[in-house]
Amino acid sequence: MIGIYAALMISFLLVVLLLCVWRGKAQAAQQLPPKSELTPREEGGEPEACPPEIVSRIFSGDDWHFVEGVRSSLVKKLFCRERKAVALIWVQETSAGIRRVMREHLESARRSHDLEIASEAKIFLQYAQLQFACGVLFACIELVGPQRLRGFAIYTDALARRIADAQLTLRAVSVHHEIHGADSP
Amino acid sequence: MLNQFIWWGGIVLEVLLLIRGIRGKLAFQYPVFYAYISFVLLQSLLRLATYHWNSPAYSYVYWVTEFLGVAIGCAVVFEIYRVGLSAYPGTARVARNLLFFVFVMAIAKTFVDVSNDPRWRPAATTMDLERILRIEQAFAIVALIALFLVYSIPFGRNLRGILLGYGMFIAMSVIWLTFGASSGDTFRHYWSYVQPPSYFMTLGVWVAHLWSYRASPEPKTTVLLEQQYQRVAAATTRRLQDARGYLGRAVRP
Repeated sequence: MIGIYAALMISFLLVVLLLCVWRGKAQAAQQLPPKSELTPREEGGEPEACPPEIVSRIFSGDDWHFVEGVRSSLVKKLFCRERKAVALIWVQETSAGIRRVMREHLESARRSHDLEIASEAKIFLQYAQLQFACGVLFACIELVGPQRLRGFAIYTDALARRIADAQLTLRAVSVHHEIHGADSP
Repeated sequence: MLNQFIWWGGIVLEVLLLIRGIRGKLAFQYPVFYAYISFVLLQSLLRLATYHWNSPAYSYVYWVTEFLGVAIGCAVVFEIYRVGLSAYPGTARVARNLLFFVFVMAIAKTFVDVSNDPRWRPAATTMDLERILRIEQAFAIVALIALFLVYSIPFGRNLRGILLGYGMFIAMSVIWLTFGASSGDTFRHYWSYVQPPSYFMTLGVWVAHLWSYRASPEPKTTVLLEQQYQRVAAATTRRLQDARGYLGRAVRP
């Protein structure tokens, strides 16, 4: 039988969704931009809110090294605060751009006759991954700041490589043990 | 006294709903829903009459009408799907598959439960069976609302009312059927105060939203009707991949 918790959960979910309907969320969502703005652009790079070289500059340590040379704690503090705010806004705008891509896709897909569930699921998964990446990026910027993020990424990359190497070694050792274990009586 | 008032009030609201539905031609737009309301009205009167004049048959009449109500309720869910998604063939296809999956799962689960239970007796499991069917209706409505919200499908005022009222009724039924059988008298005692007003509220929502006919909002877009899905999906995938590259470039070591 369907458990009590499952029944309660589905009732709760139903009530929450009904509240969304009651509050007119669906009505608000229909206020999409006119069609001309919704046609998927053939050229990519739509979520790019600002040029990549500027984005790269936000996360690079060059400016930070320059500010460090000034030897003023006030300037350093101000720089950190401003740079973090810019980086966070960039992540938010990128995330909003990705949301817009998805919304436009849904707007187009809902009227297509030959909509495919598998493709929809794949696109949704891609979208969820990107939103998750934005969330992680946002949290990392909050935690370590944009300048150290690149260093953090290098560290994570090196760590991942070391773990992978260790796994390979471990696997090789276990295979070696299995072969020798099989040989022994 | 209050319960009597709520009961008779419910009958009055059901009659009012039917009158407004016929006068406003809503009954032709939502025939299954109005058939359901007519059935509920007749069911209440039939149960009352049986209770007064042939009380030994009450239990039989109760369960037969209860199951007929559940069956027509399933049809109401399909009507919500049919009317709400009539202008969206792609989404309708997804919903159709989803509803089919949910109902097949329900039938399979019931079949497995019944075949696995050596103590299975129709009288003992009647409430369980109704509970499973109501839970499956709840799943179907949740899936439908999620689709409506994800694809930004606009509801008309009438359809929203049907969905709100019926969804509320199903949520209350699931809670009652889950705890009614297993919990003690205390729960039943308190529930007897909650259930009649909640049904009264459901009828109120229906009367308010179905007072007059309001056409469902037409989708603003018409150009993409013939657009091939594959092209749309490919464009979106490419744009998402670009976004991934863009994000990665910022922090790539």
